[in-house]
Amino acid sequence: MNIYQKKYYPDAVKKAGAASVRPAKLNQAPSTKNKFNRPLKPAKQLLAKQLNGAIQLPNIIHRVLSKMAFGSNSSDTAYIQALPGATDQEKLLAYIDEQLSPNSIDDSYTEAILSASGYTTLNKTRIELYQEHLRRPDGVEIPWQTHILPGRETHFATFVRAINSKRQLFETLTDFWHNHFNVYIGTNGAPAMFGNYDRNVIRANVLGNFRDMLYAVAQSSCMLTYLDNGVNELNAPNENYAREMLELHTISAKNYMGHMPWADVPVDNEGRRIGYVEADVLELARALTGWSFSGASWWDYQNGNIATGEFLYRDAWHDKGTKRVMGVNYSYNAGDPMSDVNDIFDMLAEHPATAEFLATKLCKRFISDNPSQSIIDSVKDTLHTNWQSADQIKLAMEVLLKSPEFLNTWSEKIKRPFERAISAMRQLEFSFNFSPSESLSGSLYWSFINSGQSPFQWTSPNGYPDTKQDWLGASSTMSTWRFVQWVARLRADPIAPDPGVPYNTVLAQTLAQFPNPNDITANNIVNFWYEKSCGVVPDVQTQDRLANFMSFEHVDTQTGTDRDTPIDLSTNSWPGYNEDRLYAVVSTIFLTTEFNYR
Amino acid sequence: MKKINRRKFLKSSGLITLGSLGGLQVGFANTNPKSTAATNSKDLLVYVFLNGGMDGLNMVPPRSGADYTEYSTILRPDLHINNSESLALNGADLFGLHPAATAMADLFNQNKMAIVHATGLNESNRSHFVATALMELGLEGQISSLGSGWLTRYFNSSLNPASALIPALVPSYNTTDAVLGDPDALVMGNPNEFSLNRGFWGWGAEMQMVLGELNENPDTLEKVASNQALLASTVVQTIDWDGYLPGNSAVYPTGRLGDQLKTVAQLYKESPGLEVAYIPYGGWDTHTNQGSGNTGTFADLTLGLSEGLNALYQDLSATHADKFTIIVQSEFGRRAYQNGANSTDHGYGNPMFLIGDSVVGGFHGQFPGLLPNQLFEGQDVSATVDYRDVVSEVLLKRMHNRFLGHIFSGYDNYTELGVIAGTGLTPVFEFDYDRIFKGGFE
Repeated sequence: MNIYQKKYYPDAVKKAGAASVRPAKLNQAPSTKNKFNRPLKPAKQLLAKQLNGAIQLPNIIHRVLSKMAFGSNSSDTAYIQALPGATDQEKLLAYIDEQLSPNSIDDSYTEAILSASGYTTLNKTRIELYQEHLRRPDGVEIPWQTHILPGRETHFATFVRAINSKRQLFETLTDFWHNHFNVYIGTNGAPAMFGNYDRNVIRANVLGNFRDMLYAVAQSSCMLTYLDNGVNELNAPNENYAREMLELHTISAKNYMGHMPWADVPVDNEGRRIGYVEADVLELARALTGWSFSGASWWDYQNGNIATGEFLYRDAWHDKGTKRVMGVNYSYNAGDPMSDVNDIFDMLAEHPATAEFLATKLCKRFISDNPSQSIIDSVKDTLHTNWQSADQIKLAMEVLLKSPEFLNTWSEKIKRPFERAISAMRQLEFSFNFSPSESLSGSLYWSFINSGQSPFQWTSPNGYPDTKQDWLGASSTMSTWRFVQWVARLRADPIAPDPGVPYNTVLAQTLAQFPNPNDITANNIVNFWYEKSCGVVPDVQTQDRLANFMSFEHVDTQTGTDRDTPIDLSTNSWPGYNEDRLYAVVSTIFLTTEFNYR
Repeated sequence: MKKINRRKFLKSSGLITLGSLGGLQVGFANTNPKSTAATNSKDLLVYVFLNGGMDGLNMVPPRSGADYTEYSTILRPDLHINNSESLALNGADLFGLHPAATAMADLFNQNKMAIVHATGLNESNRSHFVATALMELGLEGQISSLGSGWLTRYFNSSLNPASALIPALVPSYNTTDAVLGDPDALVMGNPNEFSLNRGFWGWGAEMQMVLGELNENPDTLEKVASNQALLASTVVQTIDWDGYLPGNSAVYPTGRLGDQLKTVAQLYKESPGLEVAYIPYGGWDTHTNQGSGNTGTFADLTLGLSEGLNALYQDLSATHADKFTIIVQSEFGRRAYQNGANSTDHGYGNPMFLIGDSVVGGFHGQFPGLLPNQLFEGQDVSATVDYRDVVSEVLLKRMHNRFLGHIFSGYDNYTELGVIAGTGLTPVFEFDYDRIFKGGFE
């Protein structure tokens, strides 16, 4: 198994959906304007100091929804505005309280979508997933499509929930913890078991206790397979999981001291070793021997044995010697043979380095690529003080989300491809519901992969990177743009000449905004959609270019007309294609840098 | 101490937040992308990075002597490449090549490939992420917030900065820290999917036009990146990617690496200012199912690598003989001992490969030996060559850049290995040597 394939390379976008083509009956001379013949500008030196263009500060509701949710949309914005409070900030604090208790939020709308869309595996037990999708007790081979179905359904459900769920914080945190405990979904066997990992390991602990999550991860077949611990045996310890647990899940690379002798690692004033060394990796690997699952060994399904996929502690594989991890001896207890590892988990979960690592990552996710030390410290202290509390993470998130740093910062993050695509779909009120039985779901799945941030597709255990610099690459940008461009024009079953019903409510939202037809002008359309999507009014040049586009009356000549003349959006025929032009202009707004700030 | 001062300098110059954008070339000077005239006295540097930790003892196995005995009987009784299977190389009987690497052996036997033994970071680090980041960021010891990759600083310190359409290409869907902070580097997974052609037929292209206008005078980092993507899209669409005919009738292997290398070769020919291509090629983390001989994960990866490198050499040498150098490297080697799954865990020292017409073919560097007292901590092949010495020799002799201390922060003791023919420039180890900053800094 190649778990460390740093970059994901799909061979090609498969079944990526049909392109939009000019109908043959419109075979007039095509536009004489060469779209790509823009003159190339001469090279110029660009100094660092010239890159300080002003970035407008949006209203606080837009700011908060862009950072703690997958972007703003009309319904959540209206919901917040209707909450009690004298100011927008007070309303938002009430909203944050609600979001921190997701079970109190009615999300029957999203659940109804899922239950009506043909999902069959989301609620299966671990044994059911194993025996129906990975290895049947009767030995009959499982078809590939059946094998990958649970993973694919988890992927589709992730889109449905991110777009529609009222529990937006729960969804963005689910994304965070999936990346913290990243398991590449292409790992052998993982597609079948991924529903269990998503539901029982990650979602079950999103706002709960980190120690519980660490333990649940260590019992999951997905992680045990991904990092090779399912076959970690006494005689040949496999250190892969142990290394990543220290480096990526708890103490962090920042506190890795290399090949230093363990006894040389400094001790803090409460007696803890402040970091770990190479020897600790080997000792933890010894401790984790025997932490496995039914099915990890060939013998589990030979000679009439039936594998279940359940966690399995294998005493015969477990190293019963004393393990010294970060200066502390952990001895084997025959009466409670998993206690050595459990004691180590306690040590790791309590360690201030773990709290600091988690706090830093959370602040980087929700606030800034370079969060201030003071907010990191506040979140860290909350995590550390409450490390045994059932709502440890909720308490820390409350500190983070109510901090001035969170409420006030802007543009110190950008939306990564998944966030950008989802926030566009939230603005569109994208109404196609991903479902295992609709082929368009597969087209959307394949089309999004090249963005570089398809859920659960990061192959290495560190999860998707989380700074601006990582996501400014042209390939990821262009692929995400193309995806947004496509979904914004998608229609149900287009059968010429009927273009089909669009999978968005852009037209309805526009008509609702402008009940008087005389107000439906290029200027008004652009101003409304820009401010709604970006949280600010467009600058003069941006407004000019977009309104010009919206004022085109002919698909071939493509020249602007008056921008205060009403546009009849009830027509969508040659030569103006008014409705499709509206979608094109609105989706262009989703491709601007202003839309992409968080 | 010195390093701390350097970081202070960077902080005060604003480099950290802007990611080394000083002196950056934005936009394109060359309005004639089809020109085939050579405009660049530098080589094309093709850097292939084998992500995951390539097992050098499997790729370049010992064939005779004490090392072979130790390797085949003690260290890897169930995993080694038998000397009846490994490929013999001309003039060398101590080491051979993996049996799937026949195309690389051909290059070696034609004196077009060098193998440098036992290279590595100057301090072992068995973490993929840290070791890879140190190499991509060009740092030593530990990761600091320099905010730029080694190739970014290579370009920033280049004496005649690229006025090319596309000076650097990463043919990948994901970016790499090697070009961190350089929006001028084109990260492009697939040239055929590099325009806004997924919209409504009548309006999609107009979207690209309008978006170009919205970003054409970039005053934020994000707009620079958007502008670069749109300009690159314009260039990329002028090239006939599907109709490409490689030189010398070279045949690239099917699969991702072959496609990536072919894209590099074609862009180099169509857009002559291309100076660096950085190709991540992952999958080498063989903790399990490493396989042996011609089967298994390692053999599959090696076959693709070997055929791809040979095809790139054949293709480019038809039109650009002695105008390119290929470097192949991984973040570390693997444990000298096999593990419980007849595979290998993370290690240290590892061979590097160089390919090109100015490469001095054969073995270089010193293999430290496999006896217990010769292994690093009794476990890994030790490193005897700082990998930066190898890269630096290419920079000094083929890329006309001597600012090694700026490119590799903290590096100050270059040793010439003689792996490239000719004499090189004299290295400069000052991080902030004046000459570098005259171009764009006050």
